[in-house]
Amino acid sequence: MIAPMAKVQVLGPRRRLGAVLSFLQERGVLDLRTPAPLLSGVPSGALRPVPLREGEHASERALVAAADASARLQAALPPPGRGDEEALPDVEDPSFPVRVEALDAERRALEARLAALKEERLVVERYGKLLVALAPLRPTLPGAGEPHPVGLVMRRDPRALELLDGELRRLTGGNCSVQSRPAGENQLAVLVSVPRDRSREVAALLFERGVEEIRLPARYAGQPLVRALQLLLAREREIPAQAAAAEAELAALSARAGPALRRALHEARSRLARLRALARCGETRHAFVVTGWIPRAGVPALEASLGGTFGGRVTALVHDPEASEGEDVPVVLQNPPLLRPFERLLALVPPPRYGSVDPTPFLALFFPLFFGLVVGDAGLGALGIAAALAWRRRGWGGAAGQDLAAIAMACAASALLFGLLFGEAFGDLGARLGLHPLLLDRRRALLAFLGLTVGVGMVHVGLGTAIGAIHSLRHRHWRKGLERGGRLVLLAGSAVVALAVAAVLPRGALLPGLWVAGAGTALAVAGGGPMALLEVVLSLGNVLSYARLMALGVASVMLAEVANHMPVAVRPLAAGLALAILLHALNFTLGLMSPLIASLRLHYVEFFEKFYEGGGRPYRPFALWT
Amino acid sequence: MEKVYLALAAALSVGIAAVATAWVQSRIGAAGAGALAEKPELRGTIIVMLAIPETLVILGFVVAILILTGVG
Repeated sequence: MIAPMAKVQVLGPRRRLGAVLSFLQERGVLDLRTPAPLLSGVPSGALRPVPLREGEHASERALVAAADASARLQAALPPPGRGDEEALPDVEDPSFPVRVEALDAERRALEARLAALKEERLVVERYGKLLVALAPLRPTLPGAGEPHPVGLVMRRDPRALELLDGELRRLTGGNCSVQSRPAGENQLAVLVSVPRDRSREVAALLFERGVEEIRLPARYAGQPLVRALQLLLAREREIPAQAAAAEAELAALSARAGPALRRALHEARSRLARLRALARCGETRHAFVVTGWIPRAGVPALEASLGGTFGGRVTALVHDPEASEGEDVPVVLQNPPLLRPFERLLALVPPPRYGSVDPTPFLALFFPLFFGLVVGDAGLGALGIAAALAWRRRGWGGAAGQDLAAIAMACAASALLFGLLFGEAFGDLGARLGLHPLLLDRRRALLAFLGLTVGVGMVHVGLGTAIGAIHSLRHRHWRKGLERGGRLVLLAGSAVVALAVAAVLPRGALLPGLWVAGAGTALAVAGGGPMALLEVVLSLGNVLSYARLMALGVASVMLAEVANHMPVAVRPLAAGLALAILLHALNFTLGLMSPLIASLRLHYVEFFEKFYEGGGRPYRPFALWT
Repeated sequence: MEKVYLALAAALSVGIAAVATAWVQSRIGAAGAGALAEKPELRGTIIVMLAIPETLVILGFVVAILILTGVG
């Protein structure tokens, strides 16, 4: 149900406004509204909006900057561990941004150091491997001249090496040597020796052909090969320790600053909310007024704590919502714990308007029922219950996850129950093991199953129409109530006609059924005018739409039957079994998705249309930032 | 031969309805994706709108079942 709300005006001496706002923020129960006389923008009587003073404007700017800086740095730091926490200055103190900037600079320096070490580690690994491979080779020339060594990296391809050798011989007149050794899985380290006076042409050739020349980083360039190798190996040993030290420093910074930043962010945003709440308050020369909505059940506690804290200097005036305020009143859904998880299913539609009907109890009943009708398999139901229990036990997804696990549990239990009624467990495997249908066999009695789902649809749509009619009559919308009542009578008449045609009722019920349906249509037209005829046709279409439960259910059971046929039809047996398991897994996955979407659609489109009034305002109390 | 005609009629009933549903859903899906990029809060409305044309193929399926089971 939708909790009854009350409008509260908190009144007190002007100088107490700050303290009262702090009090209300800590209580976190009042959804603030600008007092009605101030909404027009024209001051009424002595009441005027509370202006922000110059100091408060400066505070607002400081708080926005502090909140942004804290949030940015907190997001950039790794998750904080245990350690000594730093005490940051107050968020409005000029030294706060300076200190946060210093912490951020420390973080940036550490991250830059880590990035440099990571890059150097890659370089050292790569060149170390190449130099180890090149170390045994000596530059030599078959002819005269001083040899000029060039180190190359190539992929392991003998043809590429031959081509390189041929090109170099052509360029140097055969006075060159090409030696190679493996360096890693797919690489070759190649030492090319050419006469020094031909080195420029050789460099140009290598560049032109895209052959990678080994150029050592500046730190090792110009060193003899052995010395460079020694330096590289030494760095390879040093880098992990240095990287670990930098990471430890970063973790320590996070442990020191993370909790303090979180507190600062909390404080800055809470103070900012308080400052901005001032703009929604009204004042006279000596008094203030804070207006807002609160669940009626919370009013006595608020009054008592206001009296206790302010000793009677601040008072609360309580009003019931007026009819004209319907759209302004926030909505709080209040259902028993068993039904509360199903409130989540309303997240995809706007909340119900205050004073309208909360559909949660109906969702809690019909949503699992539709799911069970579609899946209707004891095996899949048992698997679903096991999965929902595991989900619940592990606490995945926090509060939302627990609610979804409760919905999953209800749906899986319904699938198990309908599986027993239809005599299905993993398709016809249950029947082969001796499970018999208690209600009907979906695989054979297709028409009976179709009748069952359309009958359920008739009840569901009829219930929605009845709720809508009662709601309209209670709010004295007589014509709307008459139209909805007429549609309900038409549905009842149509049900009698359908049952008489299907020979469930005696043939003699046909004519009275037609009379009732005709009377219902006349009532609907009397209440809603000629356009109500269209609604009448749509109502019947809504009922037929429930045939989707039968269509999806038959598809599910047929897929399971095909899966069970696999071990017989496919050889070897192991392949057949694997295919069967795969198809059952696919059926289980489809069984999670399709019935959920179909059930939601039936509620949102077919059921809610009959009575649901969206456009409700969510309840957002003025509270400390969390 | 009669069985072949019945099977063909059932296949056409569900097949044509499925093509119609697919066509409508493709149009709604494309427009819905565009709308979602602008207004993510419309996701509920768009899921519902996307599911509306499914009724076409469901009714096609029901007609196919009625043909195959020889009702009427």
